[in-house]
Amino acid sequence: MSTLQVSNLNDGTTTVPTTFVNSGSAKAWGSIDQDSTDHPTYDSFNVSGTVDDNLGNTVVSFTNSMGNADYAIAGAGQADGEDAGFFAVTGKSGAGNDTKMSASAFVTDNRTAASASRDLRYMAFTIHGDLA
Amino acid sequence: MTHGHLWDRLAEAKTRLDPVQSKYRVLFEDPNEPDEPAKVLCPDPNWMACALEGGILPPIETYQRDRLVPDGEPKEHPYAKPIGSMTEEEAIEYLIQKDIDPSVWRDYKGNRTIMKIVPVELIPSDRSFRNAWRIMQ
Repeated sequence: MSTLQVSNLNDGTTTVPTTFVNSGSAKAWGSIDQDSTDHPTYDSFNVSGTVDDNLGNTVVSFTNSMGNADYAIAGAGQADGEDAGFFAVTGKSGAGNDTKMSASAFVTDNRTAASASRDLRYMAFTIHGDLA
Repeated sequence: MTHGHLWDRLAEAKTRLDPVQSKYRVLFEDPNEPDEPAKVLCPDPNWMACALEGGILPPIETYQRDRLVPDGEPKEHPYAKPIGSMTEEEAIEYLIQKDIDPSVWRDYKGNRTIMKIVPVELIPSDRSFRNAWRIMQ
C-alpha cells in the first residue's frame, strides 16, 4: 500500500487542509437488525460487536474508541410492519442508567410513539467526532 | 514502514476483506444489575474478518489499560502494533475481554453461571418475553 502525504487539497480554486477532510468523515457507522436475537449488523465500519441488551436496546462498541464521550450520533430506523420507528440513545441525562454513553460504546433506546421499548427491523447510525 | 493508526487499518481492511459471520454468541448477565435480562453479544462480521486476517487489531491488553484512562486523555490501542491472526475461538475470547465488563468475566465469584459461549443455533429466535430471559443453570 502506498501512502500519499499531503497537507492540503486544491481543486483549482479552493484549498482545504486534509485535516478538514478527516475531521468531517464519519468515524463509525452501522445498520442493525433488532428483530433478530443478538441484534446483528447488516453492515458496519469501526464496530467490534453488538450486544442485544433488551427490547430496543443495543450496545454498539467501537473497535477504535472515540477521543471522548462528546461525539455526535445520528440515526434512524423502521419497525417491522410500520412506516417508521423512533431511534434514541441513552446519552447524557445524568440519571444513572440513562447515562450509558462512553468513548468506547453507546446504547440505543428505541421506542414506539407511545414510548414503549421497541425493536427496529432496520436501525442505522453514523458517528462523527474526534478519534482516540 | 510503520503500522499507522488503527482506524486507517480498519478502513483499508474494509476494502478487501469479506465479512465473516461467527457461529458463536456470548450469553451473559450483569451481576451489578441482577434484575436485568440476559444479554447476547454478537461479534461484528467485519471485525471478525479483521481478527482472522491478522495485522489489524491491537493487543487486547491495550484496551484493558485504556479502560483506566479518563475520556479525553491519549489512548494506547489506536497506536499499538497490531497482533497476528486469531482463530475464531481466540477472537471470541478477545471480544469478551474488550466489550464485556470485567465484573462479568473476571471478577464475579458467585455461584450462578453468568456467562456462556454458545453456538448461534442455541439462541432463541422467538423474542417473546425478551425482558425475562435468564441463563439456564
